[in-house]
Amino acid sequence: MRLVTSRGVALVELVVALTLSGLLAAAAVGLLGRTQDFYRSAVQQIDVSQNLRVAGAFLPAELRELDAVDGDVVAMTPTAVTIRAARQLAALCRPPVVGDAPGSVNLTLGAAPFSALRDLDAATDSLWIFRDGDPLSPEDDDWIAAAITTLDPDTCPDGRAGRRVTAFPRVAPGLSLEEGQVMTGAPVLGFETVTYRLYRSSADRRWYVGMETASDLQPVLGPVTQDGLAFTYLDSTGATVAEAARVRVIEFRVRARTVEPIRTRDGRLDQPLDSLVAVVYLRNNPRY
Amino acid sequence: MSCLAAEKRGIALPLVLWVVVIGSALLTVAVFLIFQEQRAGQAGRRLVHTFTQAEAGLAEALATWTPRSLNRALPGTLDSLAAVGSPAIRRLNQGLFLLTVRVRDGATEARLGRLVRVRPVRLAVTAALTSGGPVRLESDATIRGDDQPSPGSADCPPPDSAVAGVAAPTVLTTGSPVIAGSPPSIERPPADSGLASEDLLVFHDLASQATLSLAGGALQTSPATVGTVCNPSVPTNWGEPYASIGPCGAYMPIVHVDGDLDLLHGRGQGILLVEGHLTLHGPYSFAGLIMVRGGLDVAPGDSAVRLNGAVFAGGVGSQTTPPAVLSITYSKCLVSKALLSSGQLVPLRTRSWKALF
Repeated sequence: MRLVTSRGVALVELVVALTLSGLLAAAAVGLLGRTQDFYRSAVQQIDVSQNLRVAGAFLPAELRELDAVDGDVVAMTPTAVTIRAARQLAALCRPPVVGDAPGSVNLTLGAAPFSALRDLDAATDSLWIFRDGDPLSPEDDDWIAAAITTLDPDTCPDGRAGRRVTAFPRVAPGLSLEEGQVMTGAPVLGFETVTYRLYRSSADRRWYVGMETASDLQPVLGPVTQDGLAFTYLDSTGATVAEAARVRVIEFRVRARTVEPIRTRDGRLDQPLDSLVAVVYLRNNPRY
Repeated sequence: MSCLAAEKRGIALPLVLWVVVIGSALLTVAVFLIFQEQRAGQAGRRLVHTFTQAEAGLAEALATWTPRSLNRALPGTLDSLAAVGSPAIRRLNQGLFLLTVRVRDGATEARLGRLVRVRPVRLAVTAALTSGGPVRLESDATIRGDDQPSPGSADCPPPDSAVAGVAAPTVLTTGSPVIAGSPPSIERPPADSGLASEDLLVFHDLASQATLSLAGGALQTSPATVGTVCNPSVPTNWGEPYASIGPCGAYMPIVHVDGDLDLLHGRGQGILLVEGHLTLHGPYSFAGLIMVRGGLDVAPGDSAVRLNGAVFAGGVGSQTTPPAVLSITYSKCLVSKALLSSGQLVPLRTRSWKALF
């Protein structure tokens, strides 16, 4: 009797246990699926946030240093901006001397620059050379743009290693870099003309914000949406301007979607959108 | 009973394991997300913090800079300033500086720079020798108002237009001293306090920024070095006017003398401010600006006293027995270089702000 009773109970128990296990397993699988969706959506959203953070850190760093009045904003549209982006800071270790080529001067820079994103490259870089003019008057100071052609090793008068740069300054008639206009110690900025714009990658057909130079186009951040980069150019009063020399503030907006669809709270699959708006005040426009 | 108990344990274990697995997965995801967000938030906060601190450091350094402390700084040297982020200032040449600041917060670092320059005290120079009292010159005196570049310096602009040779209430000459300029001499009203009121204001302004403050007496000045480096801590080191690329060639102190001064043979450069009377004994050479509230006399002798730049005095006499050899030559370049030791530091008009890599 005891054995029969035990078997009957075991069968009921087994059915109940199997049912419960099935329910639990189904719940667990559902929960796991949810967890996976949650994880995937979190990763996707983190990627988007990271992209926007890169935009918030990278683009302002490039834009802040511009002097729009002096031509650092070369071209501007609502979706792209071409700028003269600073790359190096060095100083002359002797005054410029007239070069062999017509219109050229030889500049000797200290071989170790004060700051450099990368080495000076005659193929891509140009220079801003500080001209003091009357040393007693800050008001007549300006910067002379110069193309460069050759870079050769040189020695500074104090024996330090230097670098001789053949430069072709663009000076107004009647002015020159020689004869005391540019002195020893004058700062020299290396710059590169770059364009920040949207482009569509041929590899994955997605849109990216790219940095375009004379020879290269490389992604800076993305993927973003098709309208993922927009610039607004403002003057000192906050009004939108179309003339590059009047720009005092550049506002940009970056919009990015998750690369893959993620499940929303209401169960739909979607690619959520996030955006970042940053306002950059140009630090180097003339002060006085 | 023992058989039933064993079956119950068999069901409970997988159940517990499922719960543990699911719970761990959820916890892992939650912790991962929390850490990611925390890291991103911290990184953003550090980025903003270091950047604003660096900008504050630059602004504070600019606001608290005093020429008194930096007149001793020579081109190429690096000084640190007491401000947020301990900014460093590097003198690029006589009038230009690079201010840099580096602020760290954890792994985040902001490096910013500011190109700044001297806005010097303004001084109108209308003559090589400007005197508030009478000027007496002997035949061995030469005063030239045409702009002469600094000897041995490649950094001077082309000569500017000439100023007058002498500007004084009266000019008394014995023999045939050379007075040249455009015009050679101009008459100006006498000044009761030695210097004209506008020049006296400049005198006081410069005196308040003096690199060296001396009581007066007799001094023999010459460049002093430690090894191959100029030593500005020696009070009789007033720089080297003859070798602009030498160790003391760029050292142009503002020297304020609170009394009478006898300068024995030697040399110096910069700005010399004398409250009392200045007597120069040759051979002596000075490049820059001399302002004397009392009289300026040149002691008799064959050795020359050569002053290049500009001289302002309450009166001038070159003694006659034997005739003193005095040469005052206007140099806009030397006056400019000297004045660049004074004034205030201001950002360059444009492209002053630099993000440093």
